[in-house]
Amino acid sequence: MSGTSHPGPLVEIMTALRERVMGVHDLVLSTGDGLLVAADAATVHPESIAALSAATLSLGQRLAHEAEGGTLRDVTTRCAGRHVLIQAVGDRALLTVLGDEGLDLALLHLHMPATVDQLVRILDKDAPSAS
Amino acid sequence: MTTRAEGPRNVSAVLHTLYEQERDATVLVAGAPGGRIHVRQGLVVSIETPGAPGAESILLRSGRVADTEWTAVRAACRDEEGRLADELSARGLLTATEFEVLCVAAVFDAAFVLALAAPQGWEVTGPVPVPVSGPGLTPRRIAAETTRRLAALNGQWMPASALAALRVQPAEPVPSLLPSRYVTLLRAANDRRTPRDLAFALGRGTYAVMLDLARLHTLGLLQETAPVTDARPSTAPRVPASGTRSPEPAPVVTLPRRTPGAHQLGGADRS
Repeated sequence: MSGTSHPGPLVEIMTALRERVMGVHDLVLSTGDGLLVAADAATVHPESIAALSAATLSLGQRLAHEAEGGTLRDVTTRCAGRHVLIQAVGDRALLTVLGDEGLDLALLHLHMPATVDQLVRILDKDAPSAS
Repeated sequence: MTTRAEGPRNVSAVLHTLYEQERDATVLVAGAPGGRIHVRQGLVVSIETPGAPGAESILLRSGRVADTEWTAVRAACRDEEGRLADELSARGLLTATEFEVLCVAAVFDAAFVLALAAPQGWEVTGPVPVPVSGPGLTPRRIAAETTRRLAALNGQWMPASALAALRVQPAEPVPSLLPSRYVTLLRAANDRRTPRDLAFALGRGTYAVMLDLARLHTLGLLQETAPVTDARPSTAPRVPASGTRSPEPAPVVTLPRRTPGAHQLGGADRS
């Protein structure tokens, strides 16, 4: 694949969010079509999370449209012992945040816009590349 | 949100006032971590905070009660506070005493976590429904237990507030002759998890995990490492590279056709 760059700054942004919000334990950044971009993860398979997140966000957008909702803010999945939140990052990427049962959702929602903005600033520098 | 200048000087004082007035209330505490302290007739029956697993979380994560059983118990109790113990006991899942011990431990643990950092503010509201609550505890008893725990931890390794934010991983190799509780904790520690994260992952109390980590440090079984990263792909739209062409389609090849009657099964020498 062409057009690769170092994910360090992206990982740093994700790590900062993980360390700031209690309960966040893994973060995965992926392209809109489910390709892994960067991950700050230890307990999950990032490639699988990236692919599933892209599909889930697409379904969420479609569902929001059918439910006559406005712009999709995020897709949140609550399960025993886990929270999974998927958030669009600009037009062509998405961020998946995995947390435990005690995840501080309020604080996460508070910090998410700034985190997304930081990620978008970096990803916007990606020039169209040959596949 | 109430500030220190306007009302009681700390959350403990707020709880004491509510105790004297025998009020039903919920105290919303802002901070890192914040939380909700549920007070009934002046006694603290439950504390919810992202900093420590609640009774429900410990029950389910530890596997003591299965998810389906817990859902059935919750459904049977509907929104009635204080019925959980009876329902769990009636179904033979947990005795009333076990549930009481669990709830008291969860309240002490949450109170300890809230005491690790000064709150940014607090607000007393009307009673917010609480799904899981145990026997009421007086603010004095909670304060005494919190003080004891802080003193116990501060005498070891590092101040409790610093230990609460620490991420550790086991030193190699892990000795084989260790209590299973320590082995489980060392396996879960991955240099990304704070004591609170480990508590949620293992279904244990945050204080108990911190105490065990301090002991493991004394035994020289903890260390820290730096993360490693690789190259990432571009998120820009992928377009065909200029100057490149799709491969030519394979030439059409006519397959040989069989002529009816010309093929002899098994070869000519059989005939």
